Amino acid sequence: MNINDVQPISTKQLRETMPSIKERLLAGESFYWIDRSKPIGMIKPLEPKRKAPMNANEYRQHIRKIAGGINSKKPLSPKELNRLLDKRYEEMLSGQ
Amino acid sequence: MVYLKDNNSPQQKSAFKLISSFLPEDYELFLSSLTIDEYLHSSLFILKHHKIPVPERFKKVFEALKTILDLQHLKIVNPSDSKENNLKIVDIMQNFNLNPRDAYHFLTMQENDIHEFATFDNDFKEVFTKKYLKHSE
Repeated sequence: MNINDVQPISTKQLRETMPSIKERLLAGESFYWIDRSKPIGMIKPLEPKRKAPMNANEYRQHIRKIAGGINSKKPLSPKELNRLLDKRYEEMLSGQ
Repeated sequence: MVYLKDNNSPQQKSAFKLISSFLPEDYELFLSSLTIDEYLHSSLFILKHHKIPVPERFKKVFEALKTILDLQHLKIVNPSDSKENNLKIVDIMQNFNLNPRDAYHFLTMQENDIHEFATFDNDFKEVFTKKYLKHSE
């Protein structure tokens, strides 16, 4: 969520304009709740309802579609991949 | 994820078969920020090895990551911020012979009630042997 998309709202505004706040919330807006000049919380909409899950065929087609995109000259084996990540980890530990 | 994306990897077929078997109606998939970090690191390493210019590298990994995160039945989970739970890491490392990072993968799964782990990493051998997690491969 981009901080600029979140509107500040005071306790007084909340109390006095609840119906319009509710409408704006349902339309997807989020708010910082400011009480006595201090932010004390956030009011944000729940996640939108999920779409119906793909069936098995649609899902396989989707995975086929998203597979690929990288063509390595020398593919990494699982062992080499683990070694690469372990090496990086060791580098991080030694501060390299 | 790395193998699914790499057309020349001999593991692409098995990665495809494995991920395709996790049907949305039967499974929920989980990634953590740590696993995304590992995926990005490995992908960038491969692209760098191919001398792909830097802006294109980032464009490619962004697009690849987006297609994965767009999966409807995929959620991102992370370890909790509880001090008590984070202290468990040392015990996990000791009991399962894991490095701290792998111990965090395990803790993340325990805290989020995840029982099955898809990995090619052999470091989790003891976790699978002791049947704390089911190995999907």
